[in-house]
Amino acid sequence: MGALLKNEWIKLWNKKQTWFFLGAIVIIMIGLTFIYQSFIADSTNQGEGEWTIELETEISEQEEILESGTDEEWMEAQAEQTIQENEELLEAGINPNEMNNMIFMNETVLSVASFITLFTVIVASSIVSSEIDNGTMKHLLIRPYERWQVLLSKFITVVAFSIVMMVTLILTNILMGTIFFGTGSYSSQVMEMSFHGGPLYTTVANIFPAKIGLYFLNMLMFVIISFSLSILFKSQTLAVGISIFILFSTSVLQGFSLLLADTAWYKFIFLPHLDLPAYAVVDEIMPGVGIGFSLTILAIYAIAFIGASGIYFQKKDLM
Amino acid sequence: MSDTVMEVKGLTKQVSGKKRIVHDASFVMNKGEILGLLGPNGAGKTTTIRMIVGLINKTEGKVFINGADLDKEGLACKSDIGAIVENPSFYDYMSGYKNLQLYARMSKNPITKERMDEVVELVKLSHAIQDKVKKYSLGMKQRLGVAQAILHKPALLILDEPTNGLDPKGIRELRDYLRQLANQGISTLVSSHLLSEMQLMCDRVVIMEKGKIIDVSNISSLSENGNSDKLIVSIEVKKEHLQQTEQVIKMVDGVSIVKQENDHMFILEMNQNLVPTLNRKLVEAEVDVYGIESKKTSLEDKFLALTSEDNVQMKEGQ
Repeated sequence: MGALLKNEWIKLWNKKQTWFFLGAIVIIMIGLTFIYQSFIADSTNQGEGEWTIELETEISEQEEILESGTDEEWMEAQAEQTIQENEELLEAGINPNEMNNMIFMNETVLSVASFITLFTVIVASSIVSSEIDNGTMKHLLIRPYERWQVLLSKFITVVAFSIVMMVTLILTNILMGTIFFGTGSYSSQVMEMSFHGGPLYTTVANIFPAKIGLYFLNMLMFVIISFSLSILFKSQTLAVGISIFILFSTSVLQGFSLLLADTAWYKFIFLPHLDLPAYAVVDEIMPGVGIGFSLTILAIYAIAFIGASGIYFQKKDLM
Repeated sequence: MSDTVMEVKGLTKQVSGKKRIVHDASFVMNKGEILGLLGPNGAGKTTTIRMIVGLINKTEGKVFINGADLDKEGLACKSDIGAIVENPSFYDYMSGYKNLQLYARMSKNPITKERMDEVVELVKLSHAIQDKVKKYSLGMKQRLGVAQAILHKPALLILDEPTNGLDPKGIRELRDYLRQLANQGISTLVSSHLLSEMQLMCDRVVIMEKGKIIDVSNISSLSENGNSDKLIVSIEVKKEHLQQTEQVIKMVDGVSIVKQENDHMFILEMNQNLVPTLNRKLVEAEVDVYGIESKKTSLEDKFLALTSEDNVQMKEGQ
């Protein structure tokens, strides 16, 4: 089994594509840093205490709007929200404009990580199908190993690949963050916005590991889906195409979650649960649906996918 | 231990519906033997081979490799086999050497660097082994295929259509090489639809047709006529003398006409010692003879005879 793993790892890194993916992650991260820096450059490097004055000024501005009265209801609502947020920030002692490498990491890692998901899905869906496609699978299966061992070694290789990509991303991120925004404390305070609830005031140390961990589990699920589906296809192109389609359609379909959340069956399909990083901020993504429920549903689907494709592969005739 | 390397018993593959691609195939392979699996395309050769190496699940039947049951001791059986199935495919983004290293690592017995070099030398790829496989010609890939199959010194080598894409020189080298391995006690199962190649390469052939084994023959008994008294002779005479010839032939006992070919030729079946007699009688009858030729009963004739018999039966059955 060790030999199979080593072989898969060697094959993976002998492909140009793998190095291209790794390089792309580094370059995208560097590019994002520059974009990020140019947008927030003017609001950083304020003097100590200036940010409190700024927040207070904003509060009094909004209060004036409320006092003078306005016809637009949404303006009132927005003013009230801004006041509330600013007061909470003041109370928690969080400078919304403060920037250092840790805050930068917390804010940007996941946006680049979606490229890792894309690349990993491509690798996952081609690692089996490409070998069936070009005939090398036959030479693997006539060796003294069980078929499931061949599959498992490939699966582990894909997961290891995604970890290498993640580590590379985080290291690049920290390097760029340190160069551009200086070092900061791992327990810097941050505010997290979320689609599912109000802002959450916390520290990088509290939220970042949860975000990364949940993101990784989410990605693992995509890997399992694309890896399993690709086994059913002979053609590498078809396998990769379908996996990417599923990856993108998932986020589109999640847009319908609000409409479908009330139906009894919706929470039992895997789609809405493929948004695990949301749990870093909120407790429930739908009424009554918490992280435990989501993980259970995903685990059941994962086992079903792996089981079905594994049994299929074990019995498959390689004509 | 007996000298049997492989025993195939009642091997059957039935695909969806009732169609049987391979039906009740049984044969044995001896140590150091080169056994040919011969048949036209679609006869079930590849399916048979893939069932033996475990790429295709068999519907019925048993395969024993060195006495071990493939169903019960699959991994042990696979360790004893080296194979090329169909066109040899490799990771073409890696060098030939790296490809071989991958296969070496998958062997249950450790393979030394010396063994690697030895095999590379043997298949004459030393000059190109560090090049990427995508630069290889088909012949070179075929040779790399042989290298990966023999790397772990298997007792049984299985080659499916190994001569596909090889030039005559390459085929000859492969033939010599297989003979060399056979002398070391390694048995080889080779499939092909090319009769002449099988005749040169193998000790015995298993002839397959429509999923069934229709004959198992010794090459030596096929290619030499020594075993049978009867000989196929073609006799070519002047057109005008055709009738006279026929009369003369009928006068000689023990000569029978198989058929008349064109308008100046007879195909005869006769004893070898009757050839001079017939010749003399023809001269006496003043028949102009242009040629008398003894035709060998080649594997091809046997093969065609066997398969045409089958065709006749098919027609009768309809």
